[in-house]
Amino acid sequence: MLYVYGIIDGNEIRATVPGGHHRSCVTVHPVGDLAAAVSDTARSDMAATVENVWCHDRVLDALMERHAVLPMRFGIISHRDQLTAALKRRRPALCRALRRVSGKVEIAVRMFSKLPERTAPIRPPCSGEKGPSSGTAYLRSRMANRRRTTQLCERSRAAVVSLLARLEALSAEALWDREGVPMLPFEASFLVARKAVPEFVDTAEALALHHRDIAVSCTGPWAPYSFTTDVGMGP
Amino acid sequence: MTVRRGLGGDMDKKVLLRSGTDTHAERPLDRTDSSLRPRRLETDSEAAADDLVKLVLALVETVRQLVERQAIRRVESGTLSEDEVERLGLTLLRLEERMNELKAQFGLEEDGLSLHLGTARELMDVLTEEDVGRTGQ
Repeated sequence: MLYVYGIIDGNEIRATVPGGHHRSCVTVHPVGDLAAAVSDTARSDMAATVENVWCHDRVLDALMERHAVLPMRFGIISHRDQLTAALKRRRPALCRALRRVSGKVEIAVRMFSKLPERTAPIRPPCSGEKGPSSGTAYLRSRMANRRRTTQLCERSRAAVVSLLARLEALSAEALWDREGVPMLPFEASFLVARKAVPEFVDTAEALALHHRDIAVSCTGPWAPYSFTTDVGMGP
Repeated sequence: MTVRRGLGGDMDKKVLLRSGTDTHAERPLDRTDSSLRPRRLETDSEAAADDLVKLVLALVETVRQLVERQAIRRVESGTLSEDEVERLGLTLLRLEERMNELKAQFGLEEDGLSLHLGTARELMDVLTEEDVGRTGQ
């Protein structure tokens, strides 16, 4: 049985790759001019432990240094024959996908509101207070609170839209939920040329400093999981 | 605002930028982070009782907020008389005070009563995942 880390361009590994799961050696299972990066395993499944997941990621990271890589979802174990058949059957789509991600990595961007979930209320009168307008004053104070919250949310959304547009311009492709108005917290994935990653992060940093209502995090470089879902072998 | 890069450890090697002091952003970030999903009920008896109280109060609080929103919409639309606005306001004020008493009685904070349902779509995603999980067990 073979544990499959990903599909690479070329039929031999050109990168220096660390050991695979349970100190196994990472090798290739070549089919023509592409190959699956694999390691032998006697197991039929792989426990999704933190160490195993990071091991999977470390192998992919190393491969990405010298190859275009289509990452496989963690835990894919296959018979040799089945893997060969799958690679042959999907070869055109795999080649297209490899060209698409060649020289690029995935950067995950998350944005969070730095505003409190509920703004400090404008103090309403207590119900024990005498006077005909305590109920009206309460409702008015709630209306003022809601207006203030709405304004802050709109400002945050505008910041998110502006940030996404700037980052998309620096990336080859970008993925996020484009339905409706962006709500914080917000997540987006960017396929970025490896060389452009420093500029991408610097831009995100500058934008985060400019838009004080939102916090921004960037993680990566990841294997391009989000951009390889249409080849029939990815997650 | 703090911006840090290149910390130690597997995940921290992946952190290119962390800005702000938001608690979500300060935690290690990973692709399997489930922190944004609704928390599950505990299943041991004492914790379950506490969680049940919290869940009931969270539902009541959610309904109270919905009623308040509707009331505000009606006030803003100008269809209510001054007396009606006053009565509605007093009702909501007393309801909020009663909720505050209950929260204090059960030692609950404001955040503890947020259902964090997210968008309808996110909720459906969570429900679908849980259905898939049950089917696979």
